Amino acid sequence: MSENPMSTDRRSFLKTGALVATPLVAAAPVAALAADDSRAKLARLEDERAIERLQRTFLRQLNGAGDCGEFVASADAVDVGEGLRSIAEDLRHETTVELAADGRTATAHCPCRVEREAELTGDTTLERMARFEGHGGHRYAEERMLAMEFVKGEDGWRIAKARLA
Amino acid sequence: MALEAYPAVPLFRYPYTQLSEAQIAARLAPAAQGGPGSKGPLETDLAGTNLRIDLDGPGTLFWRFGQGNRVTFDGREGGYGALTLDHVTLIAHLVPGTTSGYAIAWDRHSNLATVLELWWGGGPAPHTREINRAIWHGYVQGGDGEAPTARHAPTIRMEGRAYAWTEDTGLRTIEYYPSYTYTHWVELDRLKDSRGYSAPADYIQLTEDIYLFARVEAEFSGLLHMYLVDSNRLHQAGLRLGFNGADELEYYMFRGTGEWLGQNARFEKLGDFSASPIPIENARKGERRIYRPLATMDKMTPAEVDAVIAAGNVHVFDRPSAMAGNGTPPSGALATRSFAIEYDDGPTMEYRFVSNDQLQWRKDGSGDWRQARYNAWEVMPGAFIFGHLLQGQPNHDCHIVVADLESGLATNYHGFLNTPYFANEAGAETLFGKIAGQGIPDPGRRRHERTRDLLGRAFTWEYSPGLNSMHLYSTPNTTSWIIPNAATGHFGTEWSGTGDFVKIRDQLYFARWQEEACNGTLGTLLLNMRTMHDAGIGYHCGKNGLSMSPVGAPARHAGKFEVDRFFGPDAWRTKA
Repeated sequence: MSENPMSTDRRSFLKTGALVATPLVAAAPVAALAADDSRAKLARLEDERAIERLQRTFLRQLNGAGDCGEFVASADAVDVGEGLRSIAEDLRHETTVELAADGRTATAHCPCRVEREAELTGDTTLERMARFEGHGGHRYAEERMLAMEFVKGEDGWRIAKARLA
Repeated sequence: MALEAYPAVPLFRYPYTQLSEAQIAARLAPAAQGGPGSKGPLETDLAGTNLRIDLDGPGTLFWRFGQGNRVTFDGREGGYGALTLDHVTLIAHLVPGTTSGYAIAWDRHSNLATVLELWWGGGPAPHTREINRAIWHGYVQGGDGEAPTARHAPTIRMEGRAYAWTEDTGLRTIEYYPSYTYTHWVELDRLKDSRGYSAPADYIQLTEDIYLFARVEAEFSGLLHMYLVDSNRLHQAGLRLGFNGADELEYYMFRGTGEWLGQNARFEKLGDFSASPIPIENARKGERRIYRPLATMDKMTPAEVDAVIAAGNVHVFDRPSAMAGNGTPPSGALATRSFAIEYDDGPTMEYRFVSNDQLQWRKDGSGDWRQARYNAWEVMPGAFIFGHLLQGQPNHDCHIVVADLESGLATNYHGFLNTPYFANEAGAETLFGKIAGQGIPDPGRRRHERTRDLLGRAFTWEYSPGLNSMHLYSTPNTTSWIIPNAATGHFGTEWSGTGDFVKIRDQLYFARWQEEACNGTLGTLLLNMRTMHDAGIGYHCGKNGLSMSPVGAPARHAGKFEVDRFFGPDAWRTKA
């Protein structure tokens, strides 16, 4: 997938404050914005692209090395639960991004498919026997909503909070 | 309870005596002098042979064979027995003055040998009556040639086979080998209820077609049953050694003939022939991984069961289950429907399904309607499995029902607690009935029927990534389950319990298993062989509470053994 910050993504939404969500593809072309000389709108569009890129990078990092230190605003910003093994956007649903009116914070909600590995701690016979045969855990998939909060600092956007609901 | 050599009750219900080492020594002493018994003649051609075997582990062991059946080992003279299968000789003897003995498999062509060192007492077996065995591989010294580097070795080559053996004693046994470390056997003569049991086993390849097999009936009598198998000629030569249910020493050798019953699929990676059991760190001599389910099972009194339930530790389809990670989602298709199920010789259950997961039930048309949480799965169009607790019933009953709304037939695996054995162990009965409701045909006197369509079949079940098993339906009333090893995927540990099997439609079967003296669960499944997927329900009570939880997995058909003819028409009517 392209990481071009100016690319559009039909699954992305931009919603400003309490405004009704507007699909990005419905947003006015950059040229039109320029024509309006609306630097604020252009800045918001750039912010939205930056957040979208950050979210994707975050997911890739979770699936890869797992170290998200360079993206987060604080050490406790990310809590995705125990045993996460993979996370992928659920392409059947759209991700929404809401940018605050002051342009300093934003939220995003991304439907995801999550695969976790859980310890085989159950008391079913099968789990007991599986432990006996050396199985420590089992994997399962679930659909979750990745709820993220972003904050804009001097060096750009960072993740203030990421939780799986 | 009077002692029985071969109990009338299931072996897991029989109170085997905790024999002491002194009692065992007293019983072994005359047998060590006399040697093993046999229906047929034992061999004496070893007279004058000095057998010196170099073994990896214990080093060199030496046997001097005298006239008749005399053998001297470690300075002690006693009796031995020997039987040769083609060119492999099985020799057995007890060491006088000890509680130990040996069984030797000697390949006279290659001079390779495998020795089973046998002993009672001192562990690692937790029960003194349970025989210990350590298996050593090596070669028989002879001549001036170089010592062979080859060795007999554990094998997976027998995995997936089954034989029907008839010994010269007249005893018949079906032996399934669905695992590389366990076996499942069915005694057709001494045990009366056509029930299969599982035990740790050794499979050693001696030649391309001759194997050494040994099982120890751990958790039961503790007897050793071992034999050489000539897989081409379908012959066996074996040894039975240990104490039966009457605490009598059984010490005899036998020959037998086999019938090849088939070969099921194996599930190791192609090209993987490894067969060494999981190593045990700092293992004691002869120590092996033996599943001992009774020791780890919660054992509760009726008062404890009542208390844990009264404290609210009840979970009915309210949490994820590792047993259904690959299951299908519950169906809401019963919501808003109402019908009654009239069971033959059982209750009439009236149902109002008020939502996807809530129903109301009333028993025998009286009393208040009771609300219960349920889950249902539509496994074939119009054929549902659903389950719920009957709150307020003294035995904390559950009904796990398959309702075929197209035929008007229903079958219920009625689960209950407070069995005479352990209060938290699930008992079960099978109820057959018909459904009465709007738009549901009246089947008249027709009912679902028990089936042998699943008999002899094995299926793998992939419940969740990392949680898999195989079922083997070994007798008309036995379900056995085998668990793969985490590291290798080899099917290993096995156990078994009472089963029941009902045909719902063509290729649609309702099966259950009871984990008696083993965790106490009642497991059920509705198997659709057209989609090779099931949906089922587990019912379990332990110190963590009472639960009903989903079971669901895709299946693979591992094969089918034709064993129907070995079981009489009443085999499936045996109750646990």
